[in-house]
Amino acid sequence: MEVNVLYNVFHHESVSMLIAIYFHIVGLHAGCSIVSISATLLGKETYKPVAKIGAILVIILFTSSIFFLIFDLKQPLRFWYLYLHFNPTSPISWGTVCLSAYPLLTGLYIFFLFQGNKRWSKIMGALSLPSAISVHGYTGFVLGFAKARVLWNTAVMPSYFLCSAMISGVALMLIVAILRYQFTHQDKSLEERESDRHIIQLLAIWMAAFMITNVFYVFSDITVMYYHTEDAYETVELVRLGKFSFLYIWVDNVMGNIVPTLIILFRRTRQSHFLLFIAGVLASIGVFVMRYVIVFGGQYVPLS
Amino acid sequence: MSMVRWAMVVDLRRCIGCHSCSIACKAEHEVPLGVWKTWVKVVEKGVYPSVTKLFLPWFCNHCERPICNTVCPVNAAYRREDGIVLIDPHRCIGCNYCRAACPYDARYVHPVTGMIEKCDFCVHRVDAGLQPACVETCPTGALIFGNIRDPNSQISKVLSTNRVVVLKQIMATYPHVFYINLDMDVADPLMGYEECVSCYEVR
Repeated sequence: MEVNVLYNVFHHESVSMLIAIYFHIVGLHAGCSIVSISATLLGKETYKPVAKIGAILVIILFTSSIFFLIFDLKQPLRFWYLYLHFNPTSPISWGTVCLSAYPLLTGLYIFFLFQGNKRWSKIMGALSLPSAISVHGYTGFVLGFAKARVLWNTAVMPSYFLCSAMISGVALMLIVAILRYQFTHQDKSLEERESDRHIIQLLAIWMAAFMITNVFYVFSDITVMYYHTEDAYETVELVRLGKFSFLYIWVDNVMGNIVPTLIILFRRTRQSHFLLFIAGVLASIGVFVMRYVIVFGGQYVPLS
Repeated sequence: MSMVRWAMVVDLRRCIGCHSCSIACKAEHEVPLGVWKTWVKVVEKGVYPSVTKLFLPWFCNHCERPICNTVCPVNAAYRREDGIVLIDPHRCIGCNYCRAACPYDARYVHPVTGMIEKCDFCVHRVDAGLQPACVETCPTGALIFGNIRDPNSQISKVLSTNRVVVLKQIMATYPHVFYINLDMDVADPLMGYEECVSCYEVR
């Protein structure tokens, strides 16, 4: 049946680019934080530089992320109302608790880490690990609870977001570790160089593991949506074949997940720091594009 | 349980698509340009000579289980005992989460104040014993507003004698704007949507 809409009203997107950037930055620092704390908890001496790289990145990224969140509010000077009025059914309320606990716990962890206090850095690491997971996990729930948008309203969303956070966090740490090696290896002993190379390989393998998990999430999300409602079918067609297909399928999943995974999986390519650097950059771009597509693709299909 | 539950019935057999409800709402609430609390979706269906024009007045559905209230982080969105869903302008931080979660796209950001706004069933008029501005203005009486818990009200009589449907029942928000004679092709946001893939494949 031929149907033409002669007049309708569409209100602007409710979630803006600032939030897409915020999701990316919070993913970066949560990923760095989780890797750093895991390295500390594992307690191996060789992992120490990983923990320190992650800790420094967490401080820089966390400080910048908050500004995106506050400036996105239409009433930014009222941000402190989030502390006055708590709604237990709202993931943003829980996110406020997580975002407040996270810098306190992680700050103490970083303090003890740089002091060289192994015992307390482990204790604080163990305490701040759940807050680091929740600080990014909550963003997945924020989207997941938005009932109106089928691309967001899936049970996979929090895990998917957490997994992509790990990819972006590890990719950033990988890039920093490679640059650090390139600029400092001439001044180091052979053992130290070997240790740095081992760390780079380790980070690359972690990244590949998370990217394989991520591709599985994308596959399960897309295939299940084909068996869902008409809105879901339409949204999945939009990201698979429509306006967002180039960004989502090619830039995010092929260039951002599959190509870096292949670079890491083959032993010969994994030995090349240049290729690993490229893999890290591709993975970072892929995760940012994924945030963009999820935020704007989710709002693209009309509701009225 | 409160003795009052305000609701609206839209009798689409009577709607002539004059948009006076939208204009009355704009005038009553001083709604700025570019945003709407109430609007009428107009759809043309069929091919010549079998063609018809359909109208769908659209507003906040004042749901029984409003998802906007559930997700509001500062409890600025709330539902009164009588079912009217409101936003506390002194508490709203403008995070837009309610807009993202509302299945009816009923909310907007006021371009000047930065507050989230939507249809409030003209609560100031209702509390004063008057009808909402759109209902008062509708020239054909297509909009019927009243207390559905009063069996003698006009809305209760209309609801009990007509087959009514609500928009997006699948969302389980229990909307309280009921439509008589609603064509599902008008209600479906994807019908007539230019980039709709499934519409061309299936229908």
